[in-house]
Amino acid sequence: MKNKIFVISVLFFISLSIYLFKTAPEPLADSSIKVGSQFPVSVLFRAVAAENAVARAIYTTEIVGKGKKAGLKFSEKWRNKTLDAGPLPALFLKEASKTIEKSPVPLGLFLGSDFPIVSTNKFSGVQVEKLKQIRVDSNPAFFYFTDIKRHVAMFPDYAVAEGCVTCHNEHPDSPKKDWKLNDIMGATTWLYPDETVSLEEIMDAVSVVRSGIVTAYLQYLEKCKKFQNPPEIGNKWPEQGYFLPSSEVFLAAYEQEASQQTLKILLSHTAKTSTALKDS
Amino acid sequence: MTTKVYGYSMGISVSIGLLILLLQQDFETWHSSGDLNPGHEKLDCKECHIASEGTIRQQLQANVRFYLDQRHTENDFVFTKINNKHCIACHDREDDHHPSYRFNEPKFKKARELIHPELCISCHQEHTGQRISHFKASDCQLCHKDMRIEDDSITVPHDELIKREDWHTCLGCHDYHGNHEMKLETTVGRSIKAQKIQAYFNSADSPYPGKLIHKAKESIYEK
Repeated sequence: MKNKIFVISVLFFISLSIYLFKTAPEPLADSSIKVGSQFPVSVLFRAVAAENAVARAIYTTEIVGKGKKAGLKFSEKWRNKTLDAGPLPALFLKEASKTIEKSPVPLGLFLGSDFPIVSTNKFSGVQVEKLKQIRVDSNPAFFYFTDIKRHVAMFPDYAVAEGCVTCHNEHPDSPKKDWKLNDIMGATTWLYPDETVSLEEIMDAVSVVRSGIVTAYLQYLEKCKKFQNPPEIGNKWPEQGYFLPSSEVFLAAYEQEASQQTLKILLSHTAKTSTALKDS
Repeated sequence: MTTKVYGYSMGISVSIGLLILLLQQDFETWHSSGDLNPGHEKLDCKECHIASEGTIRQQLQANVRFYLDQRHTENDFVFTKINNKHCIACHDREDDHHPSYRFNEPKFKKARELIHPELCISCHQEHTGQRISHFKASDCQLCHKDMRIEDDSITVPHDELIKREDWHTCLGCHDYHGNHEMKLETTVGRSIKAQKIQAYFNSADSPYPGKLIHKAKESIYEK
């Protein structure tokens, strides 16, 4: 009887092996196998952070800063239908981060600080330690977070315009009232699952960040159209008066600056790799 | 043919017949693991249970290779694993106050360990017949216990409610996902009572005033 069961089991496993491996169709692609030249994920992080920094600087300085002087309003309650206002820079980033999250690219973006206006944006644990280090050396921090299985990068978030400083110093819920221009007010935190990435993956990440920024800007323009006194949307910027650039004009200005930064990051990594190869 | 062999043959035939019958679309509900949650009653199984890549044979092959260390990743078997993207396909909102992805940030480690707010199904387990299957009022403290509002306009200030650990009052004024067009209540005594909130979690109509801001799509295939 035992022999019979043994023979049947052996025959079953042989048949299963033939079924699965010998005569089976083409194996399914393993998504974790990388093809082509690989970059460390820090290159992807540097590229998307540079893209974001350019957009934030343009939005903060050219739209919010100069827009306020031209009569435009910006508020943390900008989604309120009765308020004719646009998103503050931190909320603009939040909008961009939503689009990034919804895309198939596994990139995550958050903004936080040790002294945020909204208490749920306050860092804790490892992010507090990393921000302290960022304040010392101004360098981004890269680490791996095990429970979410994500590589993490934190980049300094500077007070790029006088508006950042005054808004945070004057806001009743702000826990710190002595911010100065160019202070590191917090950090953007980026997540990505893979340790190495292809050039295509870097481009996909850059592309989704751009899409997030344009979507955020388009949402602002949509809101503006419902204002009692809507600004003229076209080729002009708030610097010239009560105007807003169209999404195409905004994107063109942003891409011109951001593309240079991204290219510089990619070439700088390639140059470092070439030097290392020569040295070895 | 002996009676025993006849019995076995009949048993196997009836089982195969029933299995084939159960796999037909008209009989899907017969092998559902429980009642669908409120709002999902009319959904077809295929709305959430989406066929995974490849044939069954390819999937078996991939997973055997994975367990033999010949492949780095597992492959979903028969259906793709349910994830947030399945939910977001219908429930995407412009201004969700607690989007699940927000909890992927490193600082929410403790909340992730305890209640997994980064996954929709942690609170909205399907096939339970309930709107919200797992949620305790005290879960709010995982992120909000240090909250401070300088110009607090409610009758009992937030920091006082936090000190008293009156966590059940949070949802009495705030709709977790912010999906109702409503003015926030400022008189704490007039906030929605915990029993009403619990009834809503089970299956009762929404106790929050105002219209829904975002109405969910009726199908993930809807454009």
